[in-house]
Amino acid sequence: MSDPQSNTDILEYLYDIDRRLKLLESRLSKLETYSSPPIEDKMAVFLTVPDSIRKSLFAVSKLESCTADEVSDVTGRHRSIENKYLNELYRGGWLERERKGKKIYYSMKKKAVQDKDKHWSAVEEVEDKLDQLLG
Amino acid sequence: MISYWGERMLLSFHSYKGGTGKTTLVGNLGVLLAREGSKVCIVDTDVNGPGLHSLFDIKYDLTLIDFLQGRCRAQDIVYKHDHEGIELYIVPTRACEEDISSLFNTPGEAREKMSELIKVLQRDLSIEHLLFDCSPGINRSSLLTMNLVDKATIICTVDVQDIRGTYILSSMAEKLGTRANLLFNRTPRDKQKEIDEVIKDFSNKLGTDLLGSIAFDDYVARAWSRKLVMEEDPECDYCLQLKSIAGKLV
Repeated sequence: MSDPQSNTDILEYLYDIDRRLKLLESRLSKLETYSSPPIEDKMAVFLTVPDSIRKSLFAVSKLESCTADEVSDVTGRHRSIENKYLNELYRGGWLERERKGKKIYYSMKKKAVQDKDKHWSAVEEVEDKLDQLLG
Repeated sequence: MISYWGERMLLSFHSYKGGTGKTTLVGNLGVLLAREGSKVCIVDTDVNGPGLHSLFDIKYDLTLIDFLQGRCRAQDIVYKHDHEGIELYIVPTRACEEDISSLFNTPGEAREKMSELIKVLQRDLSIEHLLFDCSPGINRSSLLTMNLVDKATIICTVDVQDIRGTYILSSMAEKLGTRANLLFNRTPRDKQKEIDEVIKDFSNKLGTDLLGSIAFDDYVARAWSRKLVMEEDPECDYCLQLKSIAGKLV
């Protein structure tokens, strides 16, 4: 028969480990968000993508081109869950996908970069015009 | 309920740099909309440098921060601005070194709490126009608000720092799927016409809706946030320009 007192102790240890792991996890996810580019996309992701799916999107951003299996290795969630999330991200316009043989590869959508250049030329133009106007 | 000024709306006001005249503009716009018969509320989400309470001379007890931290109800942080019977409410905030989103575990939670505030204001006070005075720059509080509203207005001055930042803010709005308006404030008066032409092009290329420009106004500068020019002299030049802007905005 096990000793009820030591059972309680073990439970307390487990709770403590669980609490510390959660803390580490939240610190890690914060660090991840600080260390990878680009900032504008990251902000939009933070605000418009649900908390659960965001992890998958960050994994794709890090791996560049990957399958649901590879994303699952990074997030620690089951492949079938990642399949579902990646599909949602694809439908939401965040990801591109390409079939190679039996596998589907996901990558970040690249359209934003072209838009950025287009908008930046507007800044250069307005600066030129204001230069002429105000000296 | 549809007021003279159109449908219910959530509007946010942003700028890349500080000192663009954002709070002054939002405060006077709030007075203007309320004078026209709308029920208006202005929320100060600039938690790192709040100023709305000074402009409206509010002696606050509980503020937005207390609500977000779960220390009080949404109803406890709303202060009525008493002036000639207008229905204008202010939600002030006290200065805080943290960002709004850092008070929560996830952005989702922060969003939910802000949505709760909006819901209560609309339900209990029948607020038609909810204006958010946001903190300058790219930060999570400001983007969180941008994500909640119907239209985000970017206030820019004729300053290269501001103009480059406006490009960043407008692309943020685009990514968040929020319609962005562009307003140039404090423009040099003697070149206003020429500047209007230049900014029209700029706004088109950024894909924002141009609200126009407001020339630098000495009367507003002399009011030094001690008084609201829309209450002192609603027919002043600044107020007339603001009225034309308001017509495009709501």
